[in-house]
This record gives sequence, structure tokens and C-alpha cells, in this order.
Amino acid sequence: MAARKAKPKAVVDTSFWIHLVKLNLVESFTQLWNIVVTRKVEEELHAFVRIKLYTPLDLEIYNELKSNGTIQVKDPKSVPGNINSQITNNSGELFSIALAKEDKIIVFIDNGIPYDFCKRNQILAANIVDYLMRQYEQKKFTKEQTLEKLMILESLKSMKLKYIEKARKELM
Amino acid sequence: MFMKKVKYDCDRKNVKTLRLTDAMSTMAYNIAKEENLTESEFLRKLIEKGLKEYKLGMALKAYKNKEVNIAGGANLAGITYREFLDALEECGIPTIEVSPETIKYGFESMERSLGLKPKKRDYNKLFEDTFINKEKKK
Repeated sequence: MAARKAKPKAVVDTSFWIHLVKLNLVESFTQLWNIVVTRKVEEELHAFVRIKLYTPLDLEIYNELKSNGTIQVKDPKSVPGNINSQITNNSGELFSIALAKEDKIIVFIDNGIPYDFCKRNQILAANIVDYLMRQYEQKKFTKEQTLEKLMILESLKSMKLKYIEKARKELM
Repeated sequence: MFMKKVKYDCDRKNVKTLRLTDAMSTMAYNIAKEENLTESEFLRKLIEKGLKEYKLGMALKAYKNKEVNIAGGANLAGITYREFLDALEECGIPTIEVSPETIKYGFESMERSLGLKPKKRDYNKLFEDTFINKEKKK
């Protein structure tokens, strides 16, 4: 019997992680990939104003998965000049892309500019909508579940409204 | 609305003189009195708030014009990544771009990462099936 193939690694950026938790997709995601996060992304996740007496849910889940080894923290050895000149200095996105390039692994990123940069530079990249649509195509989610998640993105205004509206009409 | 008293570390060299209209001056005097603040304290707070809002507005505009990413916008506005992401959401500025090209790149990246050969798909159709309503197709 052939040995079971190890799960590939995926670098996850701050906004993608926040959306992944908001859409309740962490479990399905970790079935496919081992998550790697840079220290800067960890720092961005931990930076929040403590005006309320609670920790954001995404941070709670992050801490839990980090403590049980599901999430690994790793930084790139170096940041290539072309990334440094085009992505904001000292940002989670910069280090995430540099790590994905260095380790030749995929980076999950929800922010337009860095995503475009990955496309232009042939760095494997996907965003939360790509992931959600592929899961739907693979029949991991029903139309209703996909619609529900699209509506969450709508409520977050993370995605252009016209797309959500059209998707809703299509799915209903 | 009550304003918290804040002790500012103000320097004598930073004295600014400005003229106000009668209406502005009266309003500032009345509100400061209501808030139990001196007029200077009230105006300092107002300027501080205005500067923060201005910086955030500039950062949101820069993000919308694709001049900065989320972290860059947060730096520009002087707030955390989460606060800037919340501000983008509040202002309805999307962070995720969707098009047949992005979906194609995302699907192929995921499949390569999973050790699969990227499937041939009609990404325009996939995009339309999900994001374009039937009425338009008719």
C-alpha cells in the first residue's frame, strides 16, 4: 500500500486568516494544507486595541492551532529586492510572499496588490474566494453553504457588491 | 458626549494663531463648557481627532487607488492592521479582487500546490456561472 502523501505547506497572510475564520473554513483548509505563518503576520494578528475585554476569535483559534502544532511559524531567510521594492516594507504580506517564493509553496493572500504581484512573478497564490469556489466545485460545500459564506463576505464589504449580488441570484 | 481630559505635552514653540467665525467661536466655547474643558483643551482634542480622521481618509484613498496595501495603509493612518481592515470594511472598500483571471490563477496555484495537474476549465464560464446573473446571459 502506498504511503499517504504528506500535506503540502501553505503560507497564510493576515487578511486571509481573518477571513478564513470569519467564514468558518479553518477545518476544511487544514485538511488540505499545513499552515505556515511569518512572525510579522503573527504580530499583525496580535495587534488590536484592547478596548473590549475579549480576544478576536481568529486570534483565539490561531493560538490554539499554534499550540497544537497545526500552525508553524517561520520567516524567510531573506527578502528579494523586487519584493521589497513593491510591497510595503516590514509588512506581513512582504514576508509571506518572500517565504512562499523561497520555499516554493503557495501563499494565501486576500489583498489585491500583493496578489497581483504574485501573479506577475509566478508565485503560487490564491485568495479566499478562489478557495471557496474550488471547495464548491469539489462539492465540499452545497450551494446554500457557499451562498451563506458569500453573504458573510458581502456583510464584511470585502468583495465588490455587484459580484455578491450576482452570485446570490445565481445560487438561489 | 463627554470628552476625557487628556494631558498633552504641549510646547510653547507650538503656539498657533487662527481666526474663527463668530459661530465657530461660540460653538467651541459652549461645547468646551459643557464638556468641562477649557477652550484650549477642547480645541486640542478636536484637532487631534481631525488629524487622525484626515490621516485615515488619506490612507483609505491611497488604498483605493492601489498606492498602498493593507499594511501600508495602516502605517499611513497610524493604526493597526486590524483597525485599517475594519475601516476598509466600514467604508465598503473591497480587499478581494475577483475576475476570471484571478480565479484561474488561484485554482491553478492550489492544484499545483496539492500536487495535482491543473484541470482545464473554462474560467470565463466558471466566473459567469458564479458571478453573472442569468438575465444577462439570455
